[in-house]
Amino acid sequence: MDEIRCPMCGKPNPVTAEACQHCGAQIKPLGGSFSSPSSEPPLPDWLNEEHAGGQLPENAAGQEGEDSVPDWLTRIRQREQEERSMNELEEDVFQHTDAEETPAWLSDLRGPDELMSEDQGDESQDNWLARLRSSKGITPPEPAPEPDTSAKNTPPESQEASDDDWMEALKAFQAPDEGSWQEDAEEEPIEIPPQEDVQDASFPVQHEENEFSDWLRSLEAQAGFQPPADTPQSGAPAFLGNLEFDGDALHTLDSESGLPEGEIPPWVTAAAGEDDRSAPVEHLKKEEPPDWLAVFAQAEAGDAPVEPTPMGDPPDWVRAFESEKPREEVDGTADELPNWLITGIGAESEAPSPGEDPPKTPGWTMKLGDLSAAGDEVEGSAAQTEPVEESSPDWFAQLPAEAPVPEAEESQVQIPPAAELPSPEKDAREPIGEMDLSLDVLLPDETQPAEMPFAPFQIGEISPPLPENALPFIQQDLPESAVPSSQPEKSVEEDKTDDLAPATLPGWLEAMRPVESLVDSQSQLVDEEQIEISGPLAGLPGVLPSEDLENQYRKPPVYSARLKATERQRAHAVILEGLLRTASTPQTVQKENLEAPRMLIRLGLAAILIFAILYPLLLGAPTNATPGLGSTTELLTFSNQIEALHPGQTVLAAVDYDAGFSGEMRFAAKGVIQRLIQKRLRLVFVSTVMAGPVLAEDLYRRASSELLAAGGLAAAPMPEDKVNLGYLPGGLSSLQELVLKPQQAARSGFALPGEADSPWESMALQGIQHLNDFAAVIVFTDSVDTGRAWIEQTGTQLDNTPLLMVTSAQAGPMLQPYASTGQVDGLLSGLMAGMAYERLAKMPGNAAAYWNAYRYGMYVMVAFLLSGAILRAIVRLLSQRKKLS
Amino acid sequence: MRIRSPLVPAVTIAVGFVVLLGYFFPSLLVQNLRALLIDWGVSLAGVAALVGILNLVVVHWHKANDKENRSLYSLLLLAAFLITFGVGLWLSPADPGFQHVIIAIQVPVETSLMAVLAITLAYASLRLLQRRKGTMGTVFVVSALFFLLFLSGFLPVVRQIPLVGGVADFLHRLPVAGARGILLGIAAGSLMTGLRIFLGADRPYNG
Amino acid sequence: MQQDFLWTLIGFLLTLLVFSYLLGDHFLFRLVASLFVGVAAGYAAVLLIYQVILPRLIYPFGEGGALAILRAIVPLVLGLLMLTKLFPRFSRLGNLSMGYLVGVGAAVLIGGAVIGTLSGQLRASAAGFDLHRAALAGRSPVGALVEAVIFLFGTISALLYFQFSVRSKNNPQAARPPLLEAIASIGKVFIAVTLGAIFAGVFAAALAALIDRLDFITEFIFMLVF
Repeated sequence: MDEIRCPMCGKPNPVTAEACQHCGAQIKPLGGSFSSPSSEPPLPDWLNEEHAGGQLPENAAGQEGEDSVPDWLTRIRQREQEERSMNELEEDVFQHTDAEETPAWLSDLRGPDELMSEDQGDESQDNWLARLRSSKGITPPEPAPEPDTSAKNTPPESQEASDDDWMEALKAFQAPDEGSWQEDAEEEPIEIPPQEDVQDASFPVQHEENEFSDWLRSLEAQAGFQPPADTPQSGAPAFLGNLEFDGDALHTLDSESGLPEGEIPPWVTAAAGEDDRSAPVEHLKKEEPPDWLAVFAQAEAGDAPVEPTPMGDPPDWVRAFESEKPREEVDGTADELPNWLITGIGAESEAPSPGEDPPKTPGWTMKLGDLSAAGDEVEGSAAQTEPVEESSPDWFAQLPAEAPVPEAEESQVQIPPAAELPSPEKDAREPIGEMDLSLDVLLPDETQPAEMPFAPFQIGEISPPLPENALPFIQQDLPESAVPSSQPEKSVEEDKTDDLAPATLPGWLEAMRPVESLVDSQSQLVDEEQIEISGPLAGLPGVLPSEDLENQYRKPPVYSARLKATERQRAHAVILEGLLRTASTPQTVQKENLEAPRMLIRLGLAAILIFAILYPLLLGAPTNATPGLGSTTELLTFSNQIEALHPGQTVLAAVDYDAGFSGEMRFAAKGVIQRLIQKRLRLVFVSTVMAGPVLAEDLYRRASSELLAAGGLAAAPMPEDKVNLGYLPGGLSSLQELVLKPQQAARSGFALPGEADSPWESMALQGIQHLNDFAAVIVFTDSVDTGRAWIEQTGTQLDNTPLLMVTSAQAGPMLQPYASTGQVDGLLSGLMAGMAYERLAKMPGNAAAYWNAYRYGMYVMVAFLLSGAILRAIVRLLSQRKKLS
Repeated sequence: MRIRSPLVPAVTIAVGFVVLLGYFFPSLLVQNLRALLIDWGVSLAGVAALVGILNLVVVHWHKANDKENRSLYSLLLLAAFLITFGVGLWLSPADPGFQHVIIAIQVPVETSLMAVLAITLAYASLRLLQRRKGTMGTVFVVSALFFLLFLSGFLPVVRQIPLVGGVADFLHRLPVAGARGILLGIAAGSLMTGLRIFLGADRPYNG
Repeated sequence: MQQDFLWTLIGFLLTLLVFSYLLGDHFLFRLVASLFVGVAAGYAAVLLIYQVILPRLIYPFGEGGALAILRAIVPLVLGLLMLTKLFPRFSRLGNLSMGYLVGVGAAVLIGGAVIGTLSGQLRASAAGFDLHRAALAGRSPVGALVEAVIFLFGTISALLYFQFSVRSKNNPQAARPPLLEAIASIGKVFIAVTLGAIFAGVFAAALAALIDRLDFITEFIFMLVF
């Protein structure tokens, strides 16, 4: 397999991954040590298959890609396998053997919590080992000095000497480097060092190949196991002889674990009891020895420093076998058995005979896997089992300490130092009572994939509350800085002082804890000192407060949705609303009651009006009477002004009306012009409108021709009696300039090019330097603005020169105030005034006809107005009647 | 923010100040300067009127040359303009022949338009009260009736009646009050407009 | 003579075409209108050239002396700048000329309004109370006084009618004070009377134009017929 299962989430990850890609948990132990029992490594597939078929899966860590599976993983699996086999062996021992024949070392085996605990008494371990030695006749080496509680603080160098002795003792149990270690196991006696010499139970443990099998044989002798006949003689213990194992599975025991070829203990191979098991043995001969065994070899060779163990302190995993307390949790403990123990135990428990060469992997190692399936039974019996005595197998004890082993780092399985293993109390785990319990605990969790790295120590429940310092399995060389040292130390002391003291996680375990990486990021949010006081998590520190949230988060304030507005704003809003209402509501258009088309009505009105006008024009008035054309004050005043002029005087006549009013002005101004001509006054025309000069010429020509034709003139007027100054642009500005400097204002006249260059050289303008030099200024205009402009600009400058105005009927009412104030000396407005003056001045013209036409037209207009008003009133009355009815 | 040039407002205010000062100070220097400035203004007024006419021609030129919506009326207008302009430049405005253009074309057309206005006003007078409601409408109609009657020659007849004549005469002079108020309002508005220009508040010349 | 007849005929036709507007807007009427605008524009252009451009801006450089030339340079330059108003890209150059024109026009407008209308009309409002003058004119002093008061009140009320600005402070409804509103209502009556008189005058002017045109038509017809 190319995937590794994460110990936390169980999801597959690449083999080379060191941390889980899903949850971030550490897959590969940082210190190279065993994972904590709390991590509960899953059962490898090959181990699961062993459960099913009692065979070592071929895809065990040892064979699956020898290049992909790291050596340390292989060692872990081997270790697990061995532990499982040990558990199965225990079971078999307890089931099939007399109780009194239960080997001491089995009875001394404890739960996983006790394996990690540091409160294991040295005395129990010593007894266990001593019993082993005595049974084997092994001379124990010189007793090592008393174990020092602060052994973990002892520098590794100082313990190297004791380590060497211990290691040398284990060498007797080791198989040879080359070839079958089982074969060499019986050559040399196994020298079991005293418990004090046991270093930290961290892999790799190195021992000689031959020594390993011997002690196992001794164990077998004690246990009374007889290897099967066909089982080659090996150093495997007798109890292992009855165990069956799949030789092929031995391959998985590993080639990368560093186990030298042939290093399979003879008792292991003897327990197999199959000829064909030699193949795997031979295979193993060619392969490297298991990691856990390779550790011993390296320790002997001194290639790598061995993790120092506290002097006199047995490794925790050893103490774990001296389980004094029954396991409380039952669930999943069976899954916590290490792989190497599980896989080593097959369906049949067959202990190899002592002394036999263990050409093959002992069956108990495979049958250890069955312990996971029989986890309940084991757990159930865990409470009944006696705590494991302090004496643990040497091969356990010889497991190297937590000290980093660079060279054998990946190839050795390391057991964390006892000081760093979590205490059972702290981890809320129960110590392992018996070996089987410990083995169960050591077995990985079945719920997790089988490829999990070896996690020999699993303390407590399946899903125990993860303590703060709980760390997954890490390698031996995990720096202590990454590991909270206080807790392991504390746990060690607590374990020593009080069995019920809470377990503390070792540093390496804490470093492997994946939750820590997540918890650390949120550590700022969580008050670690805050201890939950209620709820299911009561007593746990660093828990997110649950009940406090209710107090922290209160109901948000309810804000009123009502808009706050001042009185003024409301008033403005009311106004705006009213405007919008009126704008949006369509105004009803009053329906026209007139049914006839508008054009017909308009044509009819036009016909009536035209008829009223044409009638007097065509038929003429019966008389020349002009009723109603009387003299008014204004008319008399104007007439007096004109009559006051003397012949030969120059009168400035401003023709400032548009061509459209020429018809009316013809009737209003012709009489005045005729009178001026008749009086032989010199007329100087000027205009501030563009059509003025031409209209002035036309007005003068008509007036003179009619006067001449009517006989009002004795002779035609002289051309020099009339000067046309032409057009003055600028409106008010030109009038002001005319007032200031008339010659500069009117530089050129409205004359032909061949005529005089300057109009001021004509006789009409002789002596005229200023506007006051004119005898009179008569303004002929049709608009109020022009009249007002003349009055405003020139009225103040005319001292004795009368300002007379002949205006259109539409401008009369607005220019009347000027006349009432005396600013205008005379005002004639409209056709009626013109006709009246013509009548008064007795000028020739068809005044009667025009007056009658004008009068009839006005009557028609009055009739139209009254008719409209009457019709409106009638319609209103009818509508009101309809409403009332 | 675009910074406006202060030259134009400065010229405007300076020239206007000098011209206005001449109304109140009879100093010869001020008067001469005022006359000079006004003279230049009159010349510019003529040029401005010419610019307006040329603009009219340009607009209709574009309309006549528009390929999508070519206006026939614009073509006629341009033709009439060119012909009149050409003839006028040739003959001069004082030529009697050229004056026929005004007398025979412009006068009849404009006068006829005024005549049509009379018929239109007569038609509108039928619906005067229908459109204009309220006090002002009623007063307006009554006043129009009254003055139409006055203008038709009733006033001299009514004046001969002892009391009615006086009242009629008074009513005949009554519009002066309203007209005076309107004229005062116009004068005050003109004053304020001029002052706003001198103070720089209004700048109608920034086109 | 024939020339006169021709021009008269043109006038007659144009008059009839304009009168045809009573039947509705049509192509001939628009044709006449376009003709009228073109002719008027042409005449105006010619008149300006002959009456303003040549004598004020061109002739001084040929006939006038140095002083005349100096006096003509400024309006010539300003006039040329004003011609740039025809081109949108260079229209800003004509702002100076426009500003000059506005300045002169505003000054003249202010002077005339203050001296011509404001002072004169205010004086006239007060002159109505000259009962002596009224007596000399043969009018009753009481009547004259009443008329003066009425005219004065009418003038003030008509002037206040056009006062539409109000204080916004403490005035959410934005309404004029009640006294001002009452006076403005009375001024509305005086203004309506004046507008009625103006309306009558407009109709009178239009009627006179109609009479003139009808007279022209009848004369032409008679000339043609007889």
